[in-house]
Amino acid sequence: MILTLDQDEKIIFQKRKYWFILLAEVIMLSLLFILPLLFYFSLPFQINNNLFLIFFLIWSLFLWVILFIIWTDYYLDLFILTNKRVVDIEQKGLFNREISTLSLNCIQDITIETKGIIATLLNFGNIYIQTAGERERFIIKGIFHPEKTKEDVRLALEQYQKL
Amino acid sequence: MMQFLFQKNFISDFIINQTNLWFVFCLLVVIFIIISIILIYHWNKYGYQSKTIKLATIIYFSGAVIIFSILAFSINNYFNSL
Repeated sequence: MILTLDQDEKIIFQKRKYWFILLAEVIMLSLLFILPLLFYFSLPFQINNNLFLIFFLIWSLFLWVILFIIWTDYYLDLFILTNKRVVDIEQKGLFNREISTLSLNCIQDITIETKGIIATLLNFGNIYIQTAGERERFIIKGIFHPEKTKEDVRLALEQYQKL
Repeated sequence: MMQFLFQKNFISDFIINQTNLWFVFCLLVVIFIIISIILIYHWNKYGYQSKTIKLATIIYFSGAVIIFSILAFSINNYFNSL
């Protein structure tokens, strides 16, 4: 279980960053993967094929590991909304993990931001939650359909206030 | 031209010799094992044994085994071809 829930606490949803954010990084890695091949075919002289293959495989292994570090970073980031609180889990590379919890009654204002052409077309963006707590601003990055998420948080807040 | 030949021989004789390449291979294996332990630690501790994590582990190690196998084969092939 990711969270230790109170007896009457229920998870409304848990969301990861939008898959496109991961895809963009994978595309970058793919470009880096073909870079040595471009270099090889553009060389004015010939180098030993086996030797090139050795260097290319070492390069591929490096990118393979980087790919899984990026994926780990993506997969372990999580935004959880329960009927009592908002939890933002942020994995920042390896050995750096931040878990922020915000009680629903501390929420003052929710702002969404969709920045750029791709984010607008694919409908993902950031959510900023203004709080009355110690941490003034709570930021959840790269969430799909931020308007819907904002609405879900607002409804959860309404339900919480009714209790 | 002389400088190029000197550099070429220097690289092939001293830098890319059999011992050095196999040493690099072993070093890569060690580094890979260390990084894998770190990744598995994160996956097990924070991934909560999900199916996705299990699938990722299989893909990660399968890919790495394939790359290491071709690499070992290529190193062997390279020195046989000289």
